[in-house]
Amino acid sequence: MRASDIAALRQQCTRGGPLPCTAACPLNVDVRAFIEKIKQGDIQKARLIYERAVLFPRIVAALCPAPCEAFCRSALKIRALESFCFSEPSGEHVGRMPARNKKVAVVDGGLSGLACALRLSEHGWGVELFSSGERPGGGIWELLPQELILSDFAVLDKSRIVVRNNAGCQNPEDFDYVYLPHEDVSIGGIRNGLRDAEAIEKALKLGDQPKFDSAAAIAARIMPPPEVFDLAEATAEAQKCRGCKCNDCIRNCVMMQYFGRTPEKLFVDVGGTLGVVKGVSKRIAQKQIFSCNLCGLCDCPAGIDFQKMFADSRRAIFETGRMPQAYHQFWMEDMEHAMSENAFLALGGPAGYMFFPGCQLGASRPEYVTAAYGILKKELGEVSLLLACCGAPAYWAGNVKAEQELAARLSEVWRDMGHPKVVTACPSCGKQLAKMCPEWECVSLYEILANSPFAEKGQGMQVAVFDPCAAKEMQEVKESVRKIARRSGFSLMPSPRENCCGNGGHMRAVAPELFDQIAESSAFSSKEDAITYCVNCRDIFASRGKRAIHILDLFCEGSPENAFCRPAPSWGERRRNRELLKAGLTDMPAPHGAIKLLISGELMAKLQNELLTEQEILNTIQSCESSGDKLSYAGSDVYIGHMRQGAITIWVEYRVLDGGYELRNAYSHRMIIAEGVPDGVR
Amino acid sequence: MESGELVCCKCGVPLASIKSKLSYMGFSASYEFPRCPVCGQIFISEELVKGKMKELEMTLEDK
Repeated sequence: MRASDIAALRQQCTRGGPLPCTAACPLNVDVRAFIEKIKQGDIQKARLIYERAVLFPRIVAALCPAPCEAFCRSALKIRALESFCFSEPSGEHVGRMPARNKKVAVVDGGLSGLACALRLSEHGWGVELFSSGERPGGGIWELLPQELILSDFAVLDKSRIVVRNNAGCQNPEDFDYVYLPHEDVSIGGIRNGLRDAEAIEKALKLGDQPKFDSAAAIAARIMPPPEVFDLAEATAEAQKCRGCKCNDCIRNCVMMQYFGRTPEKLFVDVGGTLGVVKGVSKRIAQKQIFSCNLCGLCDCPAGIDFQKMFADSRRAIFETGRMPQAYHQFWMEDMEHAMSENAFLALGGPAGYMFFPGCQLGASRPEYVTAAYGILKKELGEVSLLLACCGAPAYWAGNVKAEQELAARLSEVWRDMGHPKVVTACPSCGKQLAKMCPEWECVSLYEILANSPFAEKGQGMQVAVFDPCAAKEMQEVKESVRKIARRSGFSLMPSPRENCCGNGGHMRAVAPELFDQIAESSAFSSKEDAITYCVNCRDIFASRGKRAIHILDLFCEGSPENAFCRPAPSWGERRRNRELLKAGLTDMPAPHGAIKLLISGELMAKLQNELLTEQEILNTIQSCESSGDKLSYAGSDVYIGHMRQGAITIWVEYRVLDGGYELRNAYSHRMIIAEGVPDGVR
Repeated sequence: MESGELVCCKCGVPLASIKSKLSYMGFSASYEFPRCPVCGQIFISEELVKGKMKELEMTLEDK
């Protein structure tokens, strides 16, 4: 990704203009509004929108190659919807503005002249249409069935246009404007006519002389008939429309809102950051690039992939070595832990299926993994298990090498396991593995669980399913989770739109206030208690006091009430849970109890927010104790010390207890202290 | 936080204000910090870390 690539993306942005579907339409049909009416079942209004724009709807539906379809993000069959609306003769829409006192001679009986005449007449101008043939329409009569043309042309009889067949304009001086022929027998002709009508109106109002352009005609060609819909099919098709709006990226992206950046400004800033000149310009979009949570919810109607833009920009910055390591250290270390001897596990031999629960599921609650694994073995027979990280932290960091190394390691296991189908539990893992290990065939755990027996636990309780960002395109997963929740006896209230809980993309280390904002708004996006199927969402919600369970809680021991109240585990507990999970599944001894470290609830919340693990705190204290490098206030038993760990320096204030320590405070910074005896000190 | 004089536990002497070098993202500068005049052990308060130091870090990350 370079600054020039960003400039190319900027060209794609349609903000301030029509949506791509409308921009692609030769007749400027407001496609979104047209579809929206079909969606609502208001076919009459849909017809009106279309008819007003194209004037001759059945002719256009037969001739239009529907260039809009190529730009539709929902891959709608727009042409079939148009044909559905006009399978019967049109509503013969005739606009009638009050008559004006000027007259136009339209000396063109073709589609172009007809469109021009009709639009001018609608707007109240007096129009005489001179057709050289026996009837207006020109060559269109040779292309399409008479019945179809007559039904569209019925509008002429209802208009105020005076039609003169087999006639030319003998007295041009009687008219305020004379419109001369276009020889198009195509919708290009209609377009030209409409465009000319606007130009003529301007000339008539302003006394200006318009110049006719010679826009290339769209070749006249009857299109093969589209799919035939009935009302139910048309409405169902229209439901697929996302209802794009050209501010969707801003509307959907809390990051853009938080930094007050429009996409236009982002393109400029990201381009400037990638093309930064040392000592001259600044990495003006560094924070935006690294705080995008890569959720992919921005949903640009013009197809601009902001997620890719930010991910590629990170890779480019990572390669220059100018990426602040502190942005990603925590998550890269977490990935390392999941891949370490203490937590990584490839269990079983070649089998048809391999369960890939992801590194956070067992970290939150080991039973999620063991319960699901037990059911999978019952449902699918031989199933192997891979406890590992999917590599999302490396993707987030833009660290291609680490991502490739991890992919190689996972793929080696997958090959050893006999190329199994991979059952994923975490939608983020599913999304990441599809990118990183494209040869893997993945299936969601929840699609399998939806058909397996489980206890009823809901007892009619009202909840809302929270769809994580990674599940955006996973319709079957969403439905499976809802099926499980309903079958378990929960009453499902409307879900909020899928959203990011703030976990992705390392936002926390770059813009903690933004993380707070996103986490809070997602956690409380619905007033009901939440059921999620992303354990990061579950734990972030729990940490903010939102009652939330993971759908797998319904398959585990214990009441849902206990699950709703379960606090989010600390960073240290998460890593210990991973180790416990591996120990429980193997002969490996369980991790021995750590040295006692007392931390108050309030302080633990602070450590969580600042991404400090209990192990890092303990390392720092032990380093102070073993080296003696510590400070204290006279007469106090509280010691102060620090230790550099990777990209951060951790400061601790602690007391020594019998067999352990009590943490009184901790904080960290990224700047590096020149340690040792400074100059000028004896 | 306790108050009073901060003492280096290793050397048993109070800290004194001494110039110390800090660096980040390829930049470095010297500032006065409480340090042990014998072994050089430094103290940086949370207030400073969360205030001016944070600001400086963020500025340097964008340079």
